[in-house]
Amino acid sequence: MSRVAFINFLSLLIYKHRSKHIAIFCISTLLITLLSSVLFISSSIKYDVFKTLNAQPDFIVQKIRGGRSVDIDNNLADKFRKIRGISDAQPRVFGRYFIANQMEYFTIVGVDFFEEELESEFKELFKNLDIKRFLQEDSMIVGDGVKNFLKENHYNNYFNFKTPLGENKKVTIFQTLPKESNLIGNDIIIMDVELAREILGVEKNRATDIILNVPNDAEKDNIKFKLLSLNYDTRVITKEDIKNSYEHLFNYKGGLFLLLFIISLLTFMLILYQRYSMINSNDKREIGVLRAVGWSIKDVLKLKVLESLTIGLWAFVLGVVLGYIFVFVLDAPLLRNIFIGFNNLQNSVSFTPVIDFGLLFSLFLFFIVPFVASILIPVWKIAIIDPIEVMK
Amino acid sequence: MIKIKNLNLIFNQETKKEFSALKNINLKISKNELIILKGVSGSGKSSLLSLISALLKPTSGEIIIDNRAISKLPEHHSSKFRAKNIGFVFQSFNLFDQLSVAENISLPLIPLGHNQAKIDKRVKEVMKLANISHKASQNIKDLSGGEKQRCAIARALANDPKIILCDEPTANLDRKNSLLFIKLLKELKNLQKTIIIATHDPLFDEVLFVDKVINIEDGELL
Repeated sequence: MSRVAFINFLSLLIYKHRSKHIAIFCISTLLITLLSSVLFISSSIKYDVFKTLNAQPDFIVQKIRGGRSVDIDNNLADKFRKIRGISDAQPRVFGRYFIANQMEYFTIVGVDFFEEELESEFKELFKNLDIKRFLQEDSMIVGDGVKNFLKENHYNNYFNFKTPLGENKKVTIFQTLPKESNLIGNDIIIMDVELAREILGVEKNRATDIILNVPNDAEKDNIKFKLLSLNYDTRVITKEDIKNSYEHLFNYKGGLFLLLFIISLLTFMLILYQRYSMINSNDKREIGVLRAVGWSIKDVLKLKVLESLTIGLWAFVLGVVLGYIFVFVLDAPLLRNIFIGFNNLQNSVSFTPVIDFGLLFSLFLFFIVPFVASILIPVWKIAIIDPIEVMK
Repeated sequence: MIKIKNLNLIFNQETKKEFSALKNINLKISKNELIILKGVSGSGKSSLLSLISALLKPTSGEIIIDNRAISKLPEHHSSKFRAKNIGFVFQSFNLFDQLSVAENISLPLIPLGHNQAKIDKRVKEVMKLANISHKASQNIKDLSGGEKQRCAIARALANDPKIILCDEPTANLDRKNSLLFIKLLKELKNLQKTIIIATHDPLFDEVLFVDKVINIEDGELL
C-alpha cells in the first residue's frame, strides 16, 4: 500500500467525517485539560514547596511540656554545637499573632540580622536589604497576604501590634516579600528578633525552637538519637519528616482528583465503546465497502487506528496546551484553592511552570490506549463479518 | 477460468440456528462470459458472489480461479486477490456519501500500492469509460441514481479486474437507467471481462449477449 495515498485518504476521511468526530474530540480535550491541570498544579506546588524546604535546616528541636511546644532555653544551642556532626545551631523566635476582631492570624518570624549563620533563604532575601535603615526604627517585611489585609484595614505603611503586656507597638512596613514566596510566605511578617520577642512575649534568653544542620546524611539518625537522649523533654523534627508530610498531602489531594478524572475518562471510554458497538448502518457499510473493494482487515483496522489516533493525539496535545495555559497563565482559578487550601489570608499564588514529562507520558498512554481500543474492538468485530451482508 | 466444486456454505453450523445457504454447487464459468444468476431474495445469489470474491470461506468444497484455490487463501491474500481481480457493483451502489465521485473511485486503488499520480490517472480513465467525468468533484449525495450507478461501475473498473460481480445492479434504477447499465455491460464484455450478475430483474431476460442464465433456489442450482 502506498503510504502517501493512504495518508491522503486518511486525511480526507477525517476531514469529511469531522462532524462525527467533533463531540469525541471536545470531550477528550476537556478531560485531558482537567487531568493535565491537576498534574501541572501538583508538580508545580511540589517543586515550590520542596525548593523552599530544601533551604530549611536539617533538624528543628522543640521543647515539649505536657505535650505542647513551649519556649526553649537559648543556651541549648551552644550545647548542641558541641555535639560532633552538628555544623551549626541557631535559636529561632517565631509565633502567631492573632487579630481577634478580624479572626485572622499572621506568622511573625524574628531574625537576628547580624547572625553570621543566617538561614540561606534569608541570606538570599536580605541580599539587597539596607539593614541599617531597616533597624533604625521598628520595621517589618511582610508577605503579600499580610500587606493586602493591612491595606484593607487602612494600615498602608505601619501596623500597631499589641504586646502581651498590653502596650501598643507601632511597626513600619519596610518592604514586601517577593511574589514567588507566596505559597509559604503569604501570611509571614519578618522583623528583628528582639522586636519579635517583645510582640510575641518570648523572654530574653529563650527561643521558640532551635534549628540544626548536619552535613553528613549518614550521621542524621545518630544525631537525632543523641539529641533525644541528652534532652528527654524535646521533640526533634527532621526536614525529611516535613517533606514527607507535604508529599503525602499533595499526593493525597492530587490522587483524589486523578482518581476522579480517571473514573470520568474510563466512563467516557465506555461510552465511546458503546457508541462504536452500536455503530450505525452507514459506518458498517463503509467498512463493508472497503473490504469488498480489496482492503484487508488489517488495512481497515490500520485506517481506523490511525483515524482515532489522530483525533486522540490532537485532543491530547490541545488538552495539555489548554491545561498549561489554565494553570501557568490563568493561575488555575477554582482548582487552585483546592490544592493550596483556603488560607486565612487571601493568597495570590503564581505557579512556577514545571512539567513532569514522565507523568505526562503516563497520562498519554493511559488515555490513548483505551481510546484507540474502545474504537478498534467494535470496528474489528464488523470488519470480520461478511461485507455483503453488512452492506445489505 | 472459474471452477466451483462441491461447494457448501452453512451458517451457524452445529447450532439450533444452522442454515444451509448453498448446497453442493458445481459450476464452470469461462473467461469473458456474462452469466446471469437468477433467483428470488434469500436464494443464495449474494452468498455465491461473496464466495467467488473470497469475502467468505465455504464450509466445504472449493473455488478455483485461474488455477488458484481462492477459497483456501488466508484473509490477507484473499484481500490481495480481490484487490487485483474483482470489481463489485452493488444494489444500493454502496458509495461513500461524503466523498466525491473521484475519491470514491480511487478506493480500490489504494491497497494496490499505486502512487497518487498513478491513482489520479487511472481514476480519470475509468470516469471517462463510465461517462461520469463531468461529475468528478461532486459529492455522491448530489448525484442522481443513474449517476451513482455509473460511479459504482467506474469504481468496479478502477483496478482493471478480470471478474466483475454485480449484486442486483438495477434494483434501484428506473427502466431508462437500467437499459443504460445493460448497454455499459456490453462494453465491459467487449473489454474481455468475465461478468456475473445476481438479479431477479426480468429486463435481463431480453439481453442477447448473455452467455448463460443460472437459476438458483434455496441454495441449489437448478
